[in-house]
Amino acid sequence: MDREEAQYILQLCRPENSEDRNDPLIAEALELLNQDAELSAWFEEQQALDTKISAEFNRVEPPADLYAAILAGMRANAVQSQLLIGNKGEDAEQDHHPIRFTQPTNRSEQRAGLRAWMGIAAIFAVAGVALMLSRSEAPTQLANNDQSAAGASPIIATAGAPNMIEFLAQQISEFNGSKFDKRGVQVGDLQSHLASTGMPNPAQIPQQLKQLTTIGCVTFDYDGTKLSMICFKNGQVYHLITVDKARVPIDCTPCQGQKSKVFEAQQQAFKVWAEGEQIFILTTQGSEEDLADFI
Amino acid sequence: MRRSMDGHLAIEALEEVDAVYREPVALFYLKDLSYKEIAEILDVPIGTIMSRLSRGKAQLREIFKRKETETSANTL
Repeated sequence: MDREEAQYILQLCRPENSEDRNDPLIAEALELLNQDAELSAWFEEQQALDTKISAEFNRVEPPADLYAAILAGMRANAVQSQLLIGNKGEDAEQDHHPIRFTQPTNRSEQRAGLRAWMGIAAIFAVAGVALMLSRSEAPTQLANNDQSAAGASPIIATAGAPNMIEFLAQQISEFNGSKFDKRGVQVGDLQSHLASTGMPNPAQIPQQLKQLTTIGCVTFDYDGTKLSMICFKNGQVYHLITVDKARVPIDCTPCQGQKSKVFEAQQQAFKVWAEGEQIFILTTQGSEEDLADFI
Repeated sequence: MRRSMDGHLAIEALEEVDAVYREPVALFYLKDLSYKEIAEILDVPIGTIMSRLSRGKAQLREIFKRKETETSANTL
């Protein structure tokens, strides 16, 4: 785990929370603090700011059942969207949980408290509707794969990733810097190395990736198929994997007319596309949103 | 003298966070939930929540700092 990865994970650590500090992923990142003074200073600053933000939210005392009401509303929206029912208004009314505010000590405090928490309620109401709409659209999108394929939208599969993608996810999860075949900050040097060793060498590299610094390259053997991986760095680490088109399993490759496919496996997002005689896979930790700049 | 933000401005800051990040960030700060709990409640993959929390918190911090600065400037 390098500093950028550690920063990404340490943001998930709540201040003074022992549960988080015992989380294996966070604990691994926390261990780096002893070896990296800069990372340690950054983490202290983040924790101080998190503490301050939490304290500011706590300055407006919520009604006792507000949190429960928010969560109940969110769950109701989630269920509603999954069922894709028609009479949303009527059901939303049934799911409504009235929030009771305690009597204020004075009128100005009452107005301030109401305003603030009505704001939060509004936030969740809007978010709930957005969630409902986005989920309502999802099955339509899946049902119209062929239509989507004709356009620029990638097909996203978040479950049942192909075995090759699962293999790559596992390799990347277990990967550490000492395993690089070659280290280098220039992508050209890494491409030359791959070419000289007869490994898949990307004929083309996306323009956005070219602007990033590289860390190194490594090759994998998946059931006799050679895959090369070049790692780029830009606050977050991105991996570009190249493999000969003829060797890629059919469940992994974009179908005819599709521009690309996106998978998620082991907390990593994978975008797969074909170009010439090669298949390219771009991956990073997180979701397909983290690949948005490259899609 | 520098005036601290009050809870209302914190909520205003949250409102400015992109909608897709707002729910996990709100649950993180308001409900003090872990990223795993948030993923479970929102029924979203853990990797997605990690990403949304990371980006959302970064946004909220920037907005929070900006509002804090504005509040300080207005009280001078």
